[in-house]
Amino acid sequence: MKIFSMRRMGAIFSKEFKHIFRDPFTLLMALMLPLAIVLILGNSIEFNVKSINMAYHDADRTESSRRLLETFGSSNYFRPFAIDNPEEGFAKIVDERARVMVSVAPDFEKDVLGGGTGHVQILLDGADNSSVMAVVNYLHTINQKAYLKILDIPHSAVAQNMSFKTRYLFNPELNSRWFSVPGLSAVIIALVAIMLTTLTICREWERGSMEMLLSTPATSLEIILGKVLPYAILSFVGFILVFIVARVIFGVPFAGHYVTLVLGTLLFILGYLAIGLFISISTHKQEVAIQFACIIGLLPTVVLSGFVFPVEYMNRGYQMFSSLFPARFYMDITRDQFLKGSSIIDLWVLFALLGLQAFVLMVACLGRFKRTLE
Amino acid sequence: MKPSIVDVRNLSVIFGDFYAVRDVSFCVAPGEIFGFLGANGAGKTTTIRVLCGLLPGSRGDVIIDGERFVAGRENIIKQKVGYMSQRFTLYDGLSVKENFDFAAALRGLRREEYLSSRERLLKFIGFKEKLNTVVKDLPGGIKQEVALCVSLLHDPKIVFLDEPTAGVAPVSRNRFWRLIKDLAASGKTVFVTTHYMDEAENCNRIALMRAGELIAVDSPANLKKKTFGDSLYNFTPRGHRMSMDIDSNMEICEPYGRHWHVKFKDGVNVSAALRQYKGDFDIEKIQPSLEDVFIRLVEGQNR
Repeated sequence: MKIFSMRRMGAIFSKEFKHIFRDPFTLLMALMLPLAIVLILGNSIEFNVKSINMAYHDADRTESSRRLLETFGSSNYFRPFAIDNPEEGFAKIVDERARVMVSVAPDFEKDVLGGGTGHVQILLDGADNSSVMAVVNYLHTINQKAYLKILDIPHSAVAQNMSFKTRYLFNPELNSRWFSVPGLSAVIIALVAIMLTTLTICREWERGSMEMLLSTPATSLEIILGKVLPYAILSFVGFILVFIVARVIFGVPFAGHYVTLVLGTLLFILGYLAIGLFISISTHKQEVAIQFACIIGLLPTVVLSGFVFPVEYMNRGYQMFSSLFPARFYMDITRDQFLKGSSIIDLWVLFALLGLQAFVLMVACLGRFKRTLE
Repeated sequence: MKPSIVDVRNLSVIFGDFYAVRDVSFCVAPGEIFGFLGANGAGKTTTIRVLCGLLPGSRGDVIIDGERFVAGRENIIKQKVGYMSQRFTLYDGLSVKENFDFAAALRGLRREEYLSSRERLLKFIGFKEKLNTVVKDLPGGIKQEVALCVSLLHDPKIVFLDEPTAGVAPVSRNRFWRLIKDLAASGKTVFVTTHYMDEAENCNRIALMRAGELIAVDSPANLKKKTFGDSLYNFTPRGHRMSMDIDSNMEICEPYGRHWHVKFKDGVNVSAALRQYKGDFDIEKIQPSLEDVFIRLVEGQNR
């Protein structure tokens, strides 16, 4: 009697594929859901702040003050509109019709041209944390630009006594989509891998077909591999779809190596399939398993992986906790591969951790599976 | 008596400190239809899992077709037995042929072996549908019969049918039982669990289990005789009196719908005892059914 039989594993594998292709729901969930999510989230998740409503009050009404306000308008980041007095601007911020109010003091031009300091008041809506930070950053740049504009100094003249150049590496346009879409692929794989495997094994338990499988010479390893591999392939196809969407629709550059990204993705998929398996082996019930899948599978993947909140900013305890989930390491790998393109040698620690997690989880599944038989 | 094909000696299955099966012994001869009766959780399923090679016993010996079952030798046992459960029959989304193919691959059958076995089995059940029919399009009864064939594909000497007719129409149940009898006649040993007492009458012998213990193993006729002697009376209320209680002469007085089944104690003058009820009840002597036995032996003690 063979310990591992390709024929038995293959039979389970191809049976599973038949189930998948004859069940439109599974196929839809595996392939259409990732596409829909990447399109919807990719379009809506925007960490860049643009077109901020800006109320302005120009008490100076001079050439200089107009030039200053022009600079705001031309920057694309602000959508300025005039108001009659500062109180009105305050009201606009309270109504959330404006995020920023700029008020130019009456003697602005006189002060600036006279060699003093021109006074401009800026009111920010501190309740909206994300836009305030962005606005403050932009203000710095706009201040410089406006200064030059007002004094009509050509750029070249300044460049000599002030060398101030910012270069954003890897994502020169600071496009947040370039950052979020590659991360999204991790979330989607997690969704497909955990959800689908969880459902498939539970289905066998619930229908009682697992007992039938076990009454044949098929071993635990053959059953698990045969059940999981089709979903690994499906998850991988989902990943390819997301990759294509990222490149073609969102124009995310790809600086890395296909082999590195694919290898990382496979390890990640394996780890998440194992989590899905472990859940379904432990619960046996679809409803319960789905809840567990959401709580210990998906939620940490979205929240703790660095997809939304950078891991570096978490406190140490959470950092350790987030390391329990393969998504954290994969998030680094996929972002790196899209934008930076490090070699696999530079990333070996991440790969080693990812591989270790997948291995440990798989072994845990096998052990758990053998025990549940009793 | 023929040498037994299944020999269970002092089998116990212990989970932690819970005895799922306690000190069970019985033998089954080739060609026998052996029924398992018992309430849920009585240890039927666990016993069957041991006999199917899914789970080694904690104590005692299980010898199946000359092979002793010890941990690590599951596959030797699995080859000798076929298993069909009530919960699962066939994969609904696959065709009949695909279900057969799947079982053949799992059992590692050679192609010629598989095809001839399949043809023989389909002829045996008189299968007239197309092989490519998707299982969910088959009528329930036929599905059950095909499932039986799939579990017999590797030509096991013993087949376990765990509530094979649950949820199947009565006509199909009768057909299915004819198949079971034919199987037994051809020399296969058939284990059946069922909740239908009328079906259990078809078994050559029945094992009754309660709380992990085997409380009786015998033919249906002997079980009835042992439990009730030859005198069980059916009381049917007539007129106003609709209820009755056990009296000092009675050993058993069980309600059955609107009837009562009564057995008098040994040594009681039955005709005298009956006289006081004649006014209110129609009384007739009846043959006890297996249900009477079951209620008496399995449920009676825990009331």
